[in-house]
Amino acid sequence: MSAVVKIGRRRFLEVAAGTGAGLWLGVHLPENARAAEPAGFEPNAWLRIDPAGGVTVFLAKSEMGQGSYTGMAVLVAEELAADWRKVRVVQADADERFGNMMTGGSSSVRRSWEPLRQAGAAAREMLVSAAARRWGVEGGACRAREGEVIHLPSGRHLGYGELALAAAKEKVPKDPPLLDPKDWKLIGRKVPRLDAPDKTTGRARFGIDVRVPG
Amino acid sequence: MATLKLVVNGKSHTVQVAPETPLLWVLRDTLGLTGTKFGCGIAQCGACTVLLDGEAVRSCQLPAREAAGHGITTIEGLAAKGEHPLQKAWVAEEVPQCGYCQSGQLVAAAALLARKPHPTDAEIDEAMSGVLCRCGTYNRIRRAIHRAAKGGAT
Repeated sequence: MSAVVKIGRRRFLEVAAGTGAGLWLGVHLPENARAAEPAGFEPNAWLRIDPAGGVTVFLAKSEMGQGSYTGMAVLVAEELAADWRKVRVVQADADERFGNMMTGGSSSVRRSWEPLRQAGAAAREMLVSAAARRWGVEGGACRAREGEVIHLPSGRHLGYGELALAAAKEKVPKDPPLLDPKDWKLIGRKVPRLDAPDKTTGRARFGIDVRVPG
Repeated sequence: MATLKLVVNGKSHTVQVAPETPLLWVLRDTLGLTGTKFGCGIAQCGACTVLLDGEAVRSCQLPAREAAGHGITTIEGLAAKGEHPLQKAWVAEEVPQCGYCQSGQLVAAAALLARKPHPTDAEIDEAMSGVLCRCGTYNRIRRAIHRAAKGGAT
């Protein structure tokens, strides 16, 4: 027969308050995914463009082999008109801006379809605005294509990296226009999985591989 | 504790470990080579597979002192930058899903191809059935092994 000691709520709170600081566990994992990436143009939680033109997509879903690592990046990169070779994916830390970060029910693409494409489209519009402003031309005469903005009449072009800091100063559009499906280059096509190479070299990191100090 | 000399992926390491420590943990925790995974600890799943003098062994059940004096190859040692024909075939066939078993799969496949450069399906079954894949990538593993064997890895 086990002896259950009934402390009573009042006594418990007294003891707890006394050992105060010890009960508050601030667990700071050493790596903050967002902070670890080079700074740049970050109009929303899903993407960042650094001055070298690298595009980081912050993955707010759990990749378990089902392909969200690549799928989510495709949604952002398509509307962003990114150079796909410069896109990399980083697993996002928990962030309220992502809303529901649950992964399941075959819902990742369905639930991400609007917000991720809009995230990419918003960034694209800001990059185009920044380029148009720099050239003193109409935004409508410019096109975003494979990681650069081109002024069609003159052929002038600037890479997203060069525009990153200027784009950050532009207003974030609330309802950016989305691509016509006939213009899709990535969506609906077979895109090689971005996570496959690291999973063949032992470089992919799983929970068991994370080292926490102490 | 004992001082052991382990040769891993061509490099010599001197480690201070309890000699019965499974090689898996010496590789992962002492040497920081985390590509080899822990799955079951009882040599039944194959996630811990490494090569000992070219032969596939389950490192979760191999005491470190028994590995001393032998050539150990882990997934990190297959190729410097992932250019091993099996790794290229693996990417071309999009084999990995979650990826957790794949280090063991690749190392076991490397041992097979070293012994039998053009294995039959039956020989693949025999060599590879000790490495489990809960995602069920078996068909693609087989295709990738055949692809690497044909030399058409790219």
